[in-house]
Amino acid sequence: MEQLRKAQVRTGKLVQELDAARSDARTYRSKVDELAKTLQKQRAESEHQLRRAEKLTQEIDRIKKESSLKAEKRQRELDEGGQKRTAAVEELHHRLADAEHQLSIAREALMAVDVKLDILEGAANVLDLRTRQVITQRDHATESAV
Amino acid sequence: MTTRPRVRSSSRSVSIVLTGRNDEYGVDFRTRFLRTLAFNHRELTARGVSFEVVLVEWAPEHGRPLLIDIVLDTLSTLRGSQTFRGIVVDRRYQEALSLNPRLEYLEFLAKNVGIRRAAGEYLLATNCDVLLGRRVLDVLEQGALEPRVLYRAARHDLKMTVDTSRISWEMLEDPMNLEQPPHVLKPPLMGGGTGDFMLLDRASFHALGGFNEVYRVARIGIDQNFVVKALSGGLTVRDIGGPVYHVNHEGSYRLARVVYKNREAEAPYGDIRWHSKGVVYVNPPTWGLANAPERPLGDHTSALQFSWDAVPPLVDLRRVVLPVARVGHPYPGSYARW
Repeated sequence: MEQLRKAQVRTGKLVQELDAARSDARTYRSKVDELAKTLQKQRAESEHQLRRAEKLTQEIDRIKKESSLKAEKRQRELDEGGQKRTAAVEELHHRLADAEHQLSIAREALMAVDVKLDILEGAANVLDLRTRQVITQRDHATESAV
Repeated sequence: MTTRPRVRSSSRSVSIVLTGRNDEYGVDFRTRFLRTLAFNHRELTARGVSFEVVLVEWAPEHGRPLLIDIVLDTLSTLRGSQTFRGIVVDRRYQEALSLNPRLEYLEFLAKNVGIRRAAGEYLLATNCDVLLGRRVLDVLEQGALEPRVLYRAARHDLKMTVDTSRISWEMLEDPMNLEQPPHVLKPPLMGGGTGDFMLLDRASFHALGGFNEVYRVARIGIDQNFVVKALSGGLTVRDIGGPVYHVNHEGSYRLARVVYKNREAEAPYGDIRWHSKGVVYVNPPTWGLANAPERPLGDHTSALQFSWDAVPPLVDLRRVVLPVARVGHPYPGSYARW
């Protein structure tokens, strides 16, 4: 009897443990289900992010390509503009040098003209003096004769 | 003047061309000239330099003794000497040639008369009151001269208060006796007292035709105009390496230019503003009164008599020309802006 009672107690314990195990199993199952769901979600999110990354990469490539083309175009424009400006500056330098040369020639010619005018003025003054002297002498001679 | 001449074989013959007359230019001219001539003559003789002094007495005034006679009477060793030549120029040349009644003395035409007739291998155009410095004398003694080089010397002005009755090297070289700090010659023109020292070989002087005889409106700047012509002709202008000395006196240009500031056209030496650095000249082949009849007056003295044949035209504008640019020199047209 004792043995039966012990067996019944033991059986009762085992039933309790079984119930607890069943309860734990249910809990774990629900956790596994939750994790599976979470995993599924993460997978979906990951795939989504992957697709987005691919798209972004493509977008970046496109922008890179566009920027590169734009930069090349701008560089070409700058080069062409720079060359034009350099040519314009060179042209200005040439014109300036030419103007300086012309100015120098004009200044020289002016100096020569000035000097020639000095000579002409001097000669006119000298001839004027000589003429006055001749006329004065002639007048004196005429007055003396009268 | 009693130093015995000793002529060195290395020495090249030099004619020192001067012009003056007995008119007391700049106060006490005669005394200044005679002291200067005695000093230079003594130093040149002592160093054995082969030289002659060519004194052109331009347009002497009537009724005054000739400067040439005063020189020969005072420095008697010059009489009959190979080292002195006197040329008296009829004063009618001054009247016939002048293009400016204010100019009483056509100094550079007078110097041309001497340059034309000087016999030396080298000619030094200088002034009557310029004392040759030690370095100049050294160069002349050594004959260290090159043809086609126009030598210039800086002029050191001595104070008017300096006693010049006894000229000595101590007196000349004492910095305390200088009127202003020593002048330094600057290329290309090496200007400043230019007419006081222009030394050049005779062939080059003649090739250039002497000083400007076309522009007879001023005497100021004619010396520097010659330097421009020399550069234009491809000659080198060089500092001889030492100074000459000049005793300041009343009437000197350095003092007179202050008096005529802002009325330059009235100056007795002409208007300094003329383009002496920008224009040159081609003298007629008869420069230096080549066609003037010459009458001997005595040993080594003669007179140039007046003749219209010797007088160039009053105006000859084709002979005013522009200088030529030379490699290594500034463009001649720019000289005027300096």
